[in-house]
Amino acid sequence: MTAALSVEDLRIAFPARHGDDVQAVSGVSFAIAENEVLGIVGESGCGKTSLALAVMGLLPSSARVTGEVALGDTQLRGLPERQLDRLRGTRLALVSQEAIGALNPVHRAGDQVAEAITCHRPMAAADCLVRVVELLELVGIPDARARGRCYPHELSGGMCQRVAIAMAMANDPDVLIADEPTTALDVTIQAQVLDVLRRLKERTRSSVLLITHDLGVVAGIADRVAIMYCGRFVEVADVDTIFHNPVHPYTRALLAMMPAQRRPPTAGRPDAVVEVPPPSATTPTGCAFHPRCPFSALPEPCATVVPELAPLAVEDHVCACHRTGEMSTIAGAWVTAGAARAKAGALAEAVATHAPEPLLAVRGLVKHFGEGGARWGRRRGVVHAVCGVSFDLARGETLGLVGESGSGKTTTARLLLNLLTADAGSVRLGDEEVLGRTGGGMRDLRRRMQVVFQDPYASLNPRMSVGSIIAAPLRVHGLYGAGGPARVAELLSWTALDPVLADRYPSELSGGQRQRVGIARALAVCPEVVVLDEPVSALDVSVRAGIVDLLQDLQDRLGLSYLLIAHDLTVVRHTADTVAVMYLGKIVEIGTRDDLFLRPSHPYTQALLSASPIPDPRLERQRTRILLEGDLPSPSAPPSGCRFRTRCWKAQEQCAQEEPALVDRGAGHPVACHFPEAAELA
Amino acid sequence: MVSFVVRRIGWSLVVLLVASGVMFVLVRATTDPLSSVRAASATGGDSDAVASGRLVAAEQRRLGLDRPLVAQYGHWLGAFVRGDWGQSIVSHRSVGREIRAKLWNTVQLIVWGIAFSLAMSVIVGVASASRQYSALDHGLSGLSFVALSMPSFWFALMSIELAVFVPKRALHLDHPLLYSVGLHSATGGGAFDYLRHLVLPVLTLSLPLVASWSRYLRSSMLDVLSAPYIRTARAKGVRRSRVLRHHALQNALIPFTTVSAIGIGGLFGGLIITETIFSWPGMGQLLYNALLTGDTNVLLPWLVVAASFVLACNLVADVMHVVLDPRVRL
Amino acid sequence: MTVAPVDASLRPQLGRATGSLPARPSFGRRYARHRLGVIGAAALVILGLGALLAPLIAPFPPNPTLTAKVLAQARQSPSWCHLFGTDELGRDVFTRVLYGGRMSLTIGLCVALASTALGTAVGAVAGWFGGVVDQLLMRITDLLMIIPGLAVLMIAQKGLGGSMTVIIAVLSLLSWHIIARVVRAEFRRMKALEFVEAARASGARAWRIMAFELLPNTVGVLAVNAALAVGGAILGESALSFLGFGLTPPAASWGSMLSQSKGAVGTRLAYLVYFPGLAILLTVLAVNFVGNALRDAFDPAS
Repeated sequence: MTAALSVEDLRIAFPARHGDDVQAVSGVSFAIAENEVLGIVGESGCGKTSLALAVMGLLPSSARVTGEVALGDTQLRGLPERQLDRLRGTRLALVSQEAIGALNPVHRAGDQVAEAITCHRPMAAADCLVRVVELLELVGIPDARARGRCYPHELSGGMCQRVAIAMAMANDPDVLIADEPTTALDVTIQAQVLDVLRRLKERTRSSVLLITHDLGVVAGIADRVAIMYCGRFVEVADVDTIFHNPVHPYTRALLAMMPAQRRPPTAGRPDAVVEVPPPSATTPTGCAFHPRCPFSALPEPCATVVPELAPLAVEDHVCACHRTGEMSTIAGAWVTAGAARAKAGALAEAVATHAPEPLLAVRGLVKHFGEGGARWGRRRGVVHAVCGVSFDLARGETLGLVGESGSGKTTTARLLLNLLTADAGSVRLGDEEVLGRTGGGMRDLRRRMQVVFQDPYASLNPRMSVGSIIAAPLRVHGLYGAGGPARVAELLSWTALDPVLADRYPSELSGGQRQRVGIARALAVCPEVVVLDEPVSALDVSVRAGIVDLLQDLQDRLGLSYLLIAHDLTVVRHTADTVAVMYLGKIVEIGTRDDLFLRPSHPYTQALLSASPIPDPRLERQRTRILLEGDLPSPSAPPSGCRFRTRCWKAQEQCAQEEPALVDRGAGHPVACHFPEAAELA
Repeated sequence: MVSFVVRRIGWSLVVLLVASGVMFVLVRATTDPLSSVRAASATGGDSDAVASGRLVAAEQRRLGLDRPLVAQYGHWLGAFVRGDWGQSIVSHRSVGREIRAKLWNTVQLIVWGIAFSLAMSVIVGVASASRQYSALDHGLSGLSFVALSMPSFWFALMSIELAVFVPKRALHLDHPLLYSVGLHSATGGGAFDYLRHLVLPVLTLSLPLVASWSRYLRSSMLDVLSAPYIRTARAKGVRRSRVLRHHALQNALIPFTTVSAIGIGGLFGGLIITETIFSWPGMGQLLYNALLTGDTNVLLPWLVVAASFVLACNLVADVMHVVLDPRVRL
Repeated sequence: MTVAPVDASLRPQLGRATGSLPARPSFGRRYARHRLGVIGAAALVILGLGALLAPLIAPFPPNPTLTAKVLAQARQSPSWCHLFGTDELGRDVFTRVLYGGRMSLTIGLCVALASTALGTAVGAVAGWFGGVVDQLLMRITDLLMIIPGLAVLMIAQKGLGGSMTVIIAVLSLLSWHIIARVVRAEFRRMKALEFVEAARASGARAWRIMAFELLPNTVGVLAVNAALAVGGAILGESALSFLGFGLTPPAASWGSMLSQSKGAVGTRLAYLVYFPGLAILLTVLAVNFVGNALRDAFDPAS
């Protein structure tokens, strides 16, 4: 049997402008059989995108590539550009990460799909149109003919990604390379797109190379999985083995961060691997993972010899680790160490139920945007970003605020920090009203309320040293004085940062380290409430656990209250005491974590839970998931009545006319739905 | 689209109105419309001082210069809109007619200059962006750096020396290959003669434009070429040449429209230099001569015409932007 | 060897963030990576020293009394005695190029300083506060973009005289808007970034954010644009002088030297045109190279 695609000892290096070459991929080999799906999982900088581009022959000419790539019987490396052009798009196709960016903004979506056909075989315009509409319908685009005439900016991210898939599948390719096809998308849209990929694969019998950083994505679709770290495969096995009997410590670390759906959420939390700077900057000698590996107690041979992929007991299971033998004896996925935290959590919950006075009380928050958004003399519609949001946050508690993009969760955070001026509502911190304060009065309150931002790159001033970034809030409040340096040192140690980093600049730090600096800055003035705006979503999966850990330790130690904002339920389920789910500017369901995860009652919460992939291939293949139809409606023209009704499978006449109030209808917690029904989710 | 253009023209008129006010103040503040009267009456000596003072005052009243500045501006504007642009102090002809006579020659120069600059910058920009860091790219970048740093009048002088006189001497020609004076030979002469007159002035005028525009197009092309949709197009199997034309250039031209408008604003400075050096009977030369002879009445209408021309170019650039970019909502 | 219990092996290292990327090279080192930038800086130093020390270096007086002896030296082609030759009046062109540099460089630097200061202040205020101030600024720059600058300079020189102050003032007034636009755009861009929100969330006042958070981040673009302004001012002044609307004689800049010798084109004296023009070209080229190198050296990501 010849493989549909085989790659032999592929190496890719990029010349650096100053200094040595950067080795992006160092010796990768694999083969994909016909109609097989190989998932390649790795974090940013591991070389997975370079690998995809090398197979496509689309790397910049400066890249130095060695090794062999064969598509069926055709050797691709060294093939003249003209012949490669003929293969690309016909036998070999690519879907890339940026959903909207992958389409040319100045051409109509349909024309771009048509080009994929006509650049290989000339076709009459009418026939071509028929084929384009057929393709667009195939990837699940409703009203395909009209959508084809749209420009990319008029389509949503999910729609654009479908168009990109239609383009790739236009000539029924033998091999489809999907490079992070769902990363830029919301969870519910991700579920739709993965579903399209799965159906198309069955229909066209194509082989798929699925590249992602998210193990959950491969669980339901891949046949085999390769884990990639620092330009090498560290473990390759069939999908069940990877999830149930992982051997390499890195694989285990990645798995540990997955939401363990079947376990009760309180049972524990993932453990952390050590953070180091981005691997591409300083590739360590020996096993590239050893500086972060909790099992490499001895420097020999981990720090000196590069481990080769070696076969294990199970057929086709290979792993590159010097300690494979010891590793296999430690059974199962690697979760422990959460007992103390579970206790603390229970304590907090107990406190929460008895605490009569919330620390932070938000009532009826409203914000509309867009009155002033005139361009070329015309006004845009008003965007209803936040429409009457209310919740309480008790001392020492964590409230998770969950919603997809456009739900208004980040706006809510900025409103209650008074970074944006609310149109209506009240925010009380203890006895004091936050909204409407200005100048000195607000400055005093800001000491009690701090924020950690999502993007660790944009949230630190690139021209200030770490020390002065952390000291800035102290200076603002006149607290720096003589004790300042000691306080900065203390904050660095709280956040487990090396004191020498105080003199460094943000560009010299890794993403995780930057986020720690952001946390230290927020804690500098001893706040009571900290707003965490997606604190880990911009970080690599294996670094997230460390940050989540740190946040929880700090909460336990300092009695902080957290408002944790997240776009999916993964992080929230490990850390929040109470969870609120937002949809189009409104809270649709709010309850304690156990209530919400075990007995979700709003259809949207159920869909959200169902859309998050489960790290169990067997379950993932069997379960029927709730797939929401269509996209989020425009926040400038929200649907009448219940805002979720346009995508809800339970929607009835009443839903369009009457807006459901957020009250307890027997689910044990408030739900904004006319027909709530607690669902036990697997 | 029509309503956009109409709105845009309306806005341009407002800008032009304000600009004319500013320029009115500028010209009034720096020139003395009575200087010729003063000079004429000052020749008489001390005994006539009172008489000359009276003469100046009378002239001041006749021209309305004793009224407040705003009223003067209103008066001037009314006359200007009616087509009464005043009279040249030197030639005593109507300024409007003077300008109209010169405008056509200048427009020829500008149109050829812009067309040549656009064509050259697209060629140079695309060529160097598609072969980034190649010898060609480095060579073109170096050239454009030199062109940006070179005073255009020096370029003109050097080109006259090297392209007119040196070949003429070396080849013992009766007539130079390229001319450096005027639009046509005195003996008359056909399209080829016209072209031989056109080359050097157009090159001089275009030099800074080509240099800056091609630099900008290069970087704009490089931005676009690294965009994910270019990769998508290549992954579909679209050939490189078509990707450059159909996908990259069309996107790179969008921000370029805005920048080109800024470059055109500086065009009139280049015109003054070019026309003076090459004795091109156009607007630039008109201003130069007017300033040398103290013909202050020419200045204000000249400034307004120049500003209107630049505004018109900006308008075209804006319309191009809308045409090229479907994301701009009208 | 025995397998350590999972807990024990994990705990000590839990969540510890160790190490960092190699320290960033110093500013000088980052600048030195730019070969053209180093060459440009060296050229500028030489040109600057030449202008500054002209009285010491120059072999002849720049404006000698036109005695018969001086006039006898007229129209000499470049030689070892007269490096750049002599003009129609027997004046040494090399000497005059050195002295002309004093004028050109002074004007270039002063205009760059003045327009950068004014442009930064206006751009910062407009970018941060937006609204009416911003609208006003943008309309003013619109005006400055459509009014032909060279014509205004000529008219102003005619009316106000050809003193150094007038030329510097008018050139600055005509060029500050470029930097103002750049600074405004930078401030607007950064205003939306999270580090500015973080500063606001910690209670910092607007002036503090502008001075300590935003301004240091515009150093790079300021350096480039100031360098471009030096070059632009030198070019503008030389064009003005060339047309005969520059400094009042006998003060001579490179532009006015060219103006006096434009009749030499096509004659035996064509060399009179070469050297002042080359001086302008080299200076502006060097300034542009330095600007480019500064931008890269100031880039925090480099």
